[in-house]
Order: sequence, then structure tokens, then C-alpha cells
Amino acid sequence: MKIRWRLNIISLLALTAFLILFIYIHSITRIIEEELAELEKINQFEEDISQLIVSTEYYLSNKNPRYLESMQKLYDKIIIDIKNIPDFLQFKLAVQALKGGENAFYLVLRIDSEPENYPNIKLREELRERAKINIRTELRQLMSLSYTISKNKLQYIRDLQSRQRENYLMVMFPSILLITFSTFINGRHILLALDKLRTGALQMANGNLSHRIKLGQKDELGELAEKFNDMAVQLQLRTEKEKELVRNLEKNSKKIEMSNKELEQFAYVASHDLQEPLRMITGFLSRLEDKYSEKLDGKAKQYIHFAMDGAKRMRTLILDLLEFSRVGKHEEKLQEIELMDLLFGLKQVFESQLQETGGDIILPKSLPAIKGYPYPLRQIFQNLISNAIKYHREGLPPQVEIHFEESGKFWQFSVKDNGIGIEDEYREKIFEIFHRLRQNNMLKGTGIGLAIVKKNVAHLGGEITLVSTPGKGSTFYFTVPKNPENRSN
Amino acid sequence: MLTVITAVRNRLVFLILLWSCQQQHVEDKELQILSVGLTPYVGEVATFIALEEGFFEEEGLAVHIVINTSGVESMKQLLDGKVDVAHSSEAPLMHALVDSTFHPHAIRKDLRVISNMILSNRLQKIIIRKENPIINPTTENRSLVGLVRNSQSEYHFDSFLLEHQLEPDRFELVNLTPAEIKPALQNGVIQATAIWEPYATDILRSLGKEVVEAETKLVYNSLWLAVVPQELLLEKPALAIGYLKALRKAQEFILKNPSRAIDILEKNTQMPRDLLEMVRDELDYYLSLGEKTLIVLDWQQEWMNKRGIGVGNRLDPKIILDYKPLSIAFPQGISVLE
Repeated sequence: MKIRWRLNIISLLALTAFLILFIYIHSITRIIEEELAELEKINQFEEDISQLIVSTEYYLSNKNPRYLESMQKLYDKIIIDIKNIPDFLQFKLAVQALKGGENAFYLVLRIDSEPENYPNIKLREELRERAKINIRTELRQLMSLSYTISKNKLQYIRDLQSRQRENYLMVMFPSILLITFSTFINGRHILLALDKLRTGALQMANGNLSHRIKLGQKDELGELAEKFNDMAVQLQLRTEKEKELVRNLEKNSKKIEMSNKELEQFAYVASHDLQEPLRMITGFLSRLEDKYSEKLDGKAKQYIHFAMDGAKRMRTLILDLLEFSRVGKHEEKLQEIELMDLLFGLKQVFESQLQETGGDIILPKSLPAIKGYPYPLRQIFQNLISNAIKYHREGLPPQVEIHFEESGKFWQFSVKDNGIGIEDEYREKIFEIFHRLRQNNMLKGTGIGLAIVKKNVAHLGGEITLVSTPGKGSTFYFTVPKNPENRSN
Repeated sequence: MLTVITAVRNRLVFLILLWSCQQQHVEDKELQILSVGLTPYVGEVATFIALEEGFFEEEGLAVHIVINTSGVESMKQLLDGKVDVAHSSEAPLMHALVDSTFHPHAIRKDLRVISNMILSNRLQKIIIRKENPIINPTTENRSLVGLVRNSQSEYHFDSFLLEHQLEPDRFELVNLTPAEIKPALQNGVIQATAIWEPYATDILRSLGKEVVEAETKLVYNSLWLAVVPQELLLEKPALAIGYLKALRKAQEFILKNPSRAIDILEKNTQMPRDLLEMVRDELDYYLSLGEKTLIVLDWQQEWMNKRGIGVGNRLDPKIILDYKPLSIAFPQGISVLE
């Protein structure tokens, strides 16, 4: 049965018990009130008889007619009182007594008022005495009867009150017991179910998704347990899927990592091993040019020159590739780097180019010493400065400005130039390996410099971005962590 | 569930067996014999009904009745030990208690009234012959009045004389049984009688114009008492209680079945049914012990003393009444001022 129905039944039981009790108390109280009203009448009856006895005795003793009028009224009143006696036989008894008493009293009155009709004094007095006895007998009978009726009525009211108490207990006690029992049973039922639900929820919260709540009931809590179990099934399925995904991800990550390693290994090996045959090609081409210079015509010399030039460019490519593959491989200890020294050194490296182009590298007035790895940092600055000088606008001396600022947990650097700038469409591509902005041979370089920069920044745990306006210049922003020990991979 | 059903079944079987045993016990219980001396008149309807309807047996009593002509006879049988209970009016009782001339075994002060059984003040009547109105006697001869001596009729007649200021010396009381009174009155052997119902109405109806009922203002409260020796109350109090319970049942039966009550009365009194129906309203059947009982008993002694009977043997009427059996059988009937 549904909990709401059980609670409704308990409420209904309580309400019914209350109503029954209310109706019962109301009715019994009304009955008692009616009985009390009757008792009042009986008490009045008793009081009237007492007054009659007192008045009668007064007359019988003194023959004083002072109370005769009130006695007549009392007789009339008592006749009305007697009509309220519920028991028929008691009623008849009272009527008999009253009439008998009244008759005897009138006989006494007649004797007293007409003594001439009773000339024998002895007999007259004896008759009066006997009439007195009759009067007393009847009035005392009336008195005792009223007392008995009053006593019985009082006892009846007490019995009624006692029965009321008993019935009250008989109604209330089982009702309260039933309601308490029902409440206890239902409360226990609900609490046990809630306890199982709580335990189940705790089990699931602790990761035991295979746990199922078994209530075995078809109420709201049973439904809740079923839904809970359904939810657990869904969670279990989803978790297993997630685990599968993580496993796949880890597997793929390992594959990628291995692939990267193999690629790097391949690049390193390839670039390293390719140098030897390239040196042989270059060497033999030099010898061919030196030894057979006179035998070769201009066309052949031009071809040899092209071959030599190609071999040199190939060597540069191989060296750059080797450099790219070595990023992150330098076994360098973490140390304090005086940035000013580092950048100043670089400025000197580019001195000849700056003189040649009339350019300049503008450094901040002061730079801090930071913790880091000098080689990759130097390589980042060197490649960015090199690009800035290399891709200057024709007829405009390159101006390279280096800035520095703190940004949270990172140091942020910027390298700004007034060069040719970069179109938006190349903003990402320029960081790809062997990609050059201008595919012409007029510009030196292999197109790997920015790829090395990006790889170094990433390896140090920072990021690199670019803000550029074609025809006006570019600014590269990059960050490195203040605490390289904590850098993420 | 099965255990509960089995337990309930076992309890039911046990209760049925217990009930059967108790029923058997009741059926097997030996009835206590009680002999009762009574007078076949309207005041005894309850006793006859209790006998006919088996109310005495229900209370464990085997009642044997001894039919007498009056309460005087029944009282004398009680004094002789021939009956256990005597039904009589207050006059024979007081004679038995204080009048040594009443019977060889009087004065017996251990007699107890366990209940008054009727309510009536019109049970006794005075009937006189028309040609010899005793109220205004024309002759100097003493008038003969037939009645049951030492019965309440004697007191009633005395009250009548007083009311009419007649000297008792002018009358000679003749002791007759109720059955002897009618022919005696009819034949002029007696000039008047004091007699109770239904004999009074029977005489009035039978003799017609020959007799007349004398007027009286002094009502007479008739008592019809159940009298037992104290010994019975001490040794077998349950008998008295059972006896009164059976009578009370019979009284309730009368109220519910008045016609059947007349049938039973007719059968037991041999009186005509129409006569019994005429006198039916002259009295009510109600077990009681009240102030009236006490005063009547006391006054009865007073009256007897004035006539020189039982002088010096005056008893407190409260001693004569034993309320215990009635307080159990029918407590509502007790109306004594405390």
C-alpha cells in the first residue's frame, strides 16, 4: 500500500476516534445534564416534603392554623413534583402516601374544627392520635421515598459518569493504541526503507555502483529505490564507457608519444647521418671545380655552382632539422639567468647585420634575473630577433624592441619589429616546420626558426601568440613560468 | 498466521468446554428446599407466578407452599417450625414477637422481616349489613363482627370504630376464616365484617343489596411481609436472597403480563376471573422496606400495648427488619431515612 494511503488511513482513524469521542462526550454530557436537572427537581421534591412535614408537625403540636394556607400550596406543588418520578411504582407509592397523608390531615382538621361531632373526648383524642400516626407514616414514607429516588438518581448519575470514563477509556485507549501502533509500524517501515536508501546512496557515493537497494515494497519508497537502482545502472554504464574512453585515450597518447619519439629519433638520425654523404657531395664537387676548372666550360661550372649551392642549403636544412629535434633534449640544470646579459650578448651577435641594415635592437632599461634554462630561452630570443631583422621592410632599417612584464605566475616577454608583418591567414602556419612566409630565395632561412621557438616555449611550459599588421610589423608575445619546476608538460 | 489461527481455535475450544462444564454444573446443582406459608389472595400473585414460571428454580430453590386461610395461620406455622417463610401482615407478626397468648411458641424475637411485598391502602374493607347499620345502632345488643382475629383486619376495624366514634364495647369480635365470613354475613350470624380483597368484593358482589361497604377516611396501609427466622438468614442467606430475587422477577412479570398474572391467580385462588380483574388495581407488587414499614410495625405495637397485649415486650422495629437480602436482590426497594 502506498505510504500516502497509509498516512491518510492513520489520519482518518485519528479523526474518526476524535469524532466518536466528541459525539460520545457531547451526548453523555447532555444526558448527565438532563439527569442533573431531574435530580434538581427531586431535590426540590425533597425540600417541599420537608417543609410540609415541618408545617404539619407545627400544626399537629400547636393546632395553630398559621401555615395551613402554605400547606395546601405545598400539597398542590408536591402533586406536580410527584409527576416527575420516572418509576411507575414509586410514583404510585408517592401518590398513595400523599393522598393518605392529606386525608388523615383533613380528618385532624375536622376533629379540631368540629369537636362537637366528636363528643367522646377519649375517643376523639384517640382518633386524632391515630390520624397523626397516619399522617406521619405517609409523610415519612414520602420523605424516605424522595430520599431513595434522589439517592438512586445520584447513583445513576455517578454510574453514568463512571461508565462515561470507562467508555472513554474503551474508545480512546484502543484508538490511541491503534493509531500509535500504526504510526510506529509505518514510521518504522519508512525509517527502515530510508535507512536502506541512505546506505545505498552512501555505497554509490563511495563508488560501489554495482550496489542495489532491495526494499521489496511497492510504495513510494519502493519506487524511489527502483529509480535509484536505475540511476545506478545508468551511472555504471556511463562510468564504464568513460573508463573505456580513458583507456583508449591513454593508449592513443602512448602511441602518439611513441610516434613522436620515433619521429624525433628519425629526424635526429636522419639529419645526423645525412651530413656525411652531403659532406662527400660538397667535397667532391669542390675537388671537381678545383681540379678540372680549366677543362670545364662555363655551363659546367654553372651547374657545379648550382649543385654546391643546393648542397649548402641542404646542409642548412639538415642542421636546422637537427636543432629542431634537439629541442628539449639539452641536459641543462635550472639556474638563474641574468636577462640583461643574455639579451645584450645576443645584440652583439647580430651587430654585423644591424650595421649592414642600419637597424637596432632596443632593450628595456632594466631586466630581472629569472630562474630558467638559458639555452632554450636564448634560442627563442635569437630566432625571434633573427626573423625580425630578416623580414624587415625594404628601405626601412629594422627596429626590434624587447619588452618584459610580470603576468601572474608567468614572465611575459614581447619582441616587436617594424617589418613586413604577417597576414592573418598565416598566423598559425608560420609556426609549422619548414614553412616560410615568402617562398622566394631572396630571403635567407629554412623556415624552421619559429617552429623551434614554439617548441621551446611549449617545452618550457609557456605560450606564444602573435599580433601583426601586414606592412607595419609584428609583435610576438611569449610567456615562461616563474617557477619552471612546476611547469606542466 | 497459521499459529495465530491455531491459538485462537484452541482458546475457543477451551472456552466452549468451560462453558459446557459450567452449564452442566448449574443443571446438576441441587435445589434448596424452602417451605412457605401463604394465603391465597391477590397479594400472593407474585409467589404463585414465581412457582408457575420457574423463577424459584432459576434461583436454586425448590419452594413448597403451604396454603393457609390467613397470615395468622402462616405465622403460627412459622412459630411451629413447619414453614421456613411466613407471608403475613404486620399484626400476626407483632403478636408472634410480643404476645405470649398468640401461640405457645410466641414470644419469638428472632423473627425477621426481609421484605414487604405489596403497596396498598385499599386492601381492607368494612362491610356491614344494611338492615343493621352498626354506626347507628338501634338496639342495645352487641353487634357481632366476623373477622380473622389478630390479623390486620382487627386493627382496621378498630380504626373504623374510632373514626365513627363508636365504643368497642358495643361489638363482639368473632374469629372466622375468610371462607366462613360470607355465609355468616349472609345468614345474619354476624352484622359486619372487616375483610381483605378479594373476599371483600366477592361478598359485596354476592350479597348485593344485603350489605354495604362502610365509608372510612382513615386509610390503612397494608403490609404483606415475608418473615423468616434469623437462623435462616445466618445459615443460608443465599436462600433469602434467591427467594426475593425470584419474587422480584415475578413482580416484573406481572407488569409485563397482567393477563397471564390473572390466569395464575385464578388458578391458585379458585376465585372468578372477573372478580380478580375488579380488584387488580387495589394493590401493586413492589418489594420494599421503608419508613412506612417501620412506623406501621411500631404503631402496631403501640396499639397492641394500649389493648394490654405484649406490654413490656416492646421491640425496636429496626431490629425486626433485615435489609441485607433485599439490598442484594432489589436495593431500589429500600427507602429508610439514615
